[in-house]
Amino acid sequence: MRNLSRCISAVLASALRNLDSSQYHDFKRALKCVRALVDFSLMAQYRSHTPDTLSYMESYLQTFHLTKDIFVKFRTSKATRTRADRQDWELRELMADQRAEEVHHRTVANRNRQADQKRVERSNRRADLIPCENHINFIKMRYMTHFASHARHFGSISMNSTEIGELAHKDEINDGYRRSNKNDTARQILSQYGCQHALGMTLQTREALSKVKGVIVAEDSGMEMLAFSSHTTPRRVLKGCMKNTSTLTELCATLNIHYSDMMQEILCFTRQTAPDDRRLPADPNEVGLLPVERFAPLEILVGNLQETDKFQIHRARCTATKAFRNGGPRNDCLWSRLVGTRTMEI
Amino acid sequence: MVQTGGDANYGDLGGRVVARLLALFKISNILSEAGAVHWLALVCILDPVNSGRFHIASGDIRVSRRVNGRDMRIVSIGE
Repeated sequence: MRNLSRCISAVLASALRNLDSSQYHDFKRALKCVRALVDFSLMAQYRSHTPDTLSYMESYLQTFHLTKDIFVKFRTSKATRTRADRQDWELRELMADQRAEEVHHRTVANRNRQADQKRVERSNRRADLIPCENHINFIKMRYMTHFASHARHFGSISMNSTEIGELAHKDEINDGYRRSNKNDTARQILSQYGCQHALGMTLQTREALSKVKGVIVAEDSGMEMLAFSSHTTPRRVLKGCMKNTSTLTELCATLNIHYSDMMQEILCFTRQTAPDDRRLPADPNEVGLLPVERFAPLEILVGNLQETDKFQIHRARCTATKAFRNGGPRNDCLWSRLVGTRTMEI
Repeated sequence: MVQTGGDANYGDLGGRVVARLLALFKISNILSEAGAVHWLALVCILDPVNSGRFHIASGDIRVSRRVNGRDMRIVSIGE
């Protein structure tokens, strides 16, 4: 219908351009009916609606219903045609019997005239029967009346289109089923499509990344990262500064961790960093004097898979020793680049 | 996830281990001339169950709390 609506109006208008006076009214009505249906179809595909567009839709549908009877005579069903043939046959039998009874009292000219009259009568009865039986009341014609109310209650019609599911049935479900071992197929279909999709995305991403200049390989991790305009690592932002923590001692008290354990970890971390001016002091007493700021979440800007100039914000939330959302599942991630040796005993 | 080993380590985790984020903090080295600020994260390392391989029934990689040994680590999250 979508493809048909693109050309049907133009084709009809072109085909019906040279009309004589007897055809003019009917063909104009046909064109009006088709135009109303095409307008309705185009408006039904709108992604969003206003009261005005919905009222337009309803008026187009109303016009269509008022003018659709021009096509009724072409909607003869097989059952109607069979019924008309049966009626025609019964009439012919009846007329043949009558003719047999009257055959001795009429001349040949009278008989021929009477036969012509009966043929016209049969034809008229058939012509009367067919329009009575024809109709355009089928389910697809009926549900168009609900489009406007559906859009008012649930949003645009295209959101509820089944086309995506129907297309998915071909590529994703049929192929997945064919490749499965026919046992527990649902899981295998989902798994197969997931793998296929992930592989496709990976290949596209690699292709996109290979075209981008400024890709660097981060030391120690072996990971490739995009070099941004002024940064060489993904941009990170610490947020939610907590004001009651200014030294390591206070931090340990807040987290309910032994100061000695914390200091041991700090010193371990310090030993792994390169010995330069930026390195933390190796003396525990000096480390204890350094100012500390504590934060709640860390925001990491991660480049989109296909659009290297756009980013998603991934948030790593800090929950200390408490369970997050009563111990429920969580999707927080934390990326870190270890300084020093890549392999570390844990 | 914290990268702690080579790609061959920890099964499907590829050398990374799952960690629970305990604290995020900045520490300024005011005692040095450079005055570097380190962004650090205190994490609690969780041990992968079944050598970090997917649990067949659920499709998840399961982790558990470390029973013995050091479980806390400080890792750099930037500067």
